[in-house]
Amino acid sequence: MAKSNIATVVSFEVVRTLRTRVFWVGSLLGPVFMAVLIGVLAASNSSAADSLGAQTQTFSFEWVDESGLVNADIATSIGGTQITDPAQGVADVKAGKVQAFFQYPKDPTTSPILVSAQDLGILDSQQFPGLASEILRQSAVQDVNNSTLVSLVSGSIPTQLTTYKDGVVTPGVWGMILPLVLIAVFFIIVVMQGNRMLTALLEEKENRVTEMILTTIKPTQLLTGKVAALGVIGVVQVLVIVVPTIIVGLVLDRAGMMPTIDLSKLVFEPVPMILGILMLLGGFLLFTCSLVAIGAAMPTVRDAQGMFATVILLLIVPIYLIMWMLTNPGNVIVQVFTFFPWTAPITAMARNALGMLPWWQGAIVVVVLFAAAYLVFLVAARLFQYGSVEYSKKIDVRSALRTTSK
Amino acid sequence: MNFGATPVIKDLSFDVYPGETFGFLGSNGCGKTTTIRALLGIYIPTAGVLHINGRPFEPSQSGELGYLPEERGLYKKETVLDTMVYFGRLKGMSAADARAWSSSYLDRVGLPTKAKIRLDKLSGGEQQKVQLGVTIMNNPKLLILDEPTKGFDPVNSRLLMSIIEERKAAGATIVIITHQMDDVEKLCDRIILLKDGVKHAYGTVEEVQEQFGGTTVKIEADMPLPSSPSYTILTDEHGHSEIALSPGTAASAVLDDLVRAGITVSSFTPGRRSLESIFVAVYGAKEVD
Repeated sequence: MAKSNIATVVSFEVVRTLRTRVFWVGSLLGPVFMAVLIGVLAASNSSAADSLGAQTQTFSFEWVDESGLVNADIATSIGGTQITDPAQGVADVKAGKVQAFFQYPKDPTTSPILVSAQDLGILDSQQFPGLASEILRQSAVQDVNNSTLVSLVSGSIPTQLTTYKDGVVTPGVWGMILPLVLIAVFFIIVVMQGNRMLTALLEEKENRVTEMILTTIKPTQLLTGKVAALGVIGVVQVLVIVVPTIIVGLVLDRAGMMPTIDLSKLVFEPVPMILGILMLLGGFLLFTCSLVAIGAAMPTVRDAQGMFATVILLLIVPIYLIMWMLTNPGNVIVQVFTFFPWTAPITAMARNALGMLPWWQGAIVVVVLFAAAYLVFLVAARLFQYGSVEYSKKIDVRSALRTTSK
Repeated sequence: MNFGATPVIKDLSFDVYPGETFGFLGSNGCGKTTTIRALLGIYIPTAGVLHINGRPFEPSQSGELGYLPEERGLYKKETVLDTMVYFGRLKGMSAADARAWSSSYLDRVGLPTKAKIRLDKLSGGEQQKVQLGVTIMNNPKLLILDEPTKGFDPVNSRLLMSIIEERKAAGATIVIITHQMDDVEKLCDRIILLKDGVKHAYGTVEEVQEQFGGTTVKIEADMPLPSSPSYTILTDEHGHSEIALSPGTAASAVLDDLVRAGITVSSFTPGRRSLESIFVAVYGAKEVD
């Protein structure tokens, strides 16, 4: 009956969670918000491009060229008129006769181009300095009359990087993407499920159900069922976020509103992926058991919030250190964060994804995570049983752990 | 059973026979609920074990046990039917059987339209009925009821009593933890009295009555009764007295003594000492609710 009772707990917990509006609203809010944001940005970019195109066609400006570098044909072809008196140019802008006036200095490499223009707002007014320098650049290209040299000078030189590790070509960025996705999955599950983990056993205490439930199932079995249910709910939650995101991405892609990404370049590297998945699983179990243990020790959700914040902080702190990890992988703090159970998931998964974690260190982290999760699971079960009927006070953790089992 | 370094239940052992109704008695704080929680594994006992039909109790045997705890509650945000089916399945029923049983029970207790309603939308009395249903799901062979009528309205108390009688008639063993002596005298075959975590009395109701005074006599007289080594005065107010006869004393000898002492006795009724009187004598009036 024990196995079926765990399955009963799992199905009860999963079904009742998936029936709540809070779950679906919470899960879909992110993708919907992102879709709306991308849509608004795409529409906004499209209208800005249209607006800029329309303005370029009807653009009117005057210029004074003290450098002798401006090609008059180029400037005239986009609506420019050459004059000789800078004061007149500024006066024409003030009078609204032209949209802008550009005064090119004798040496544009040491002195700025002076631009006077109609105020079209902070963003749209920026097109005038851009246009002034673009005219000069185009004039220079025309003068050099060698597109290769111009390309080299302008810095747009294509390169192709091939890296090797132990004599084998490494996949570079395309090999990092899938392990990095695992971090996102871990983060989404723990952050979005954190409160659910915290209240997993608190609900029984707050509703005074504990005594009845513990005559039907052992605390460890109840806890196993609850943790397994949280895992299933986490997978559903990730799917609820990922599937609509992919659908929205495909729709935007067909509408030509997405940058082209060649997914065929993605590389599946077995060792980092297996390590990443095991770290994800171990990290999930550890954080779930930790939060469940906190819930088991506290009489109410409110009492548990302080420690909940501490655990979540341990999860977040390594994110701020990622850039530092990249530049100082051998640093003592990075090493400590890699192997300390509650900071290990993000730290080790990030290092693993970025190719900065030797496989044997990854294996140690996996062992540490699963061992810590198991120990915390036992503590959580003990706290729950010891404090199951402590309905209104915090548990004395020392006494709970000292109490001998049957 | 210890709480920290403090022993709260000391070397307690008792048998409950199949098919009997057993009263587990004691004042508030004497360790009744703690004993039951330790037996069921809700508390981790320092030592000892509950055997059901000779086998150590495990939650996996929960189909054989129905427990109504003193602290009651159910999943408030779940529907009545979902909650009952969940507990039914934990007690070893199939989902279909649990659903059918729950529907039948809800019909019986007048809640057929509440099956799909969340528990927190029910009245207190309706929630009590659901709690009772969860307790007796799967027709348990052993029912443990901790302060069963506590907080129950008269309608639900009557429902509970009828369920106890039904289960008893069906051959179930029932343990009632209470300090309601009226219920005990009506329902129980045997009892145990617990005081300060120690067994104070144990046996059939008659045996315990015998142990605590044996024969008692209710007397109506025209003046207060004098002290005597032949009896102990249990109550004596306004000419209505109850005495407990000392071992070996005959009731007729006491009556003769009273008449010789010049007391006019208008009523002299020998009988057994009431459990309530024994309870007061054991725990002291101040301890009793």
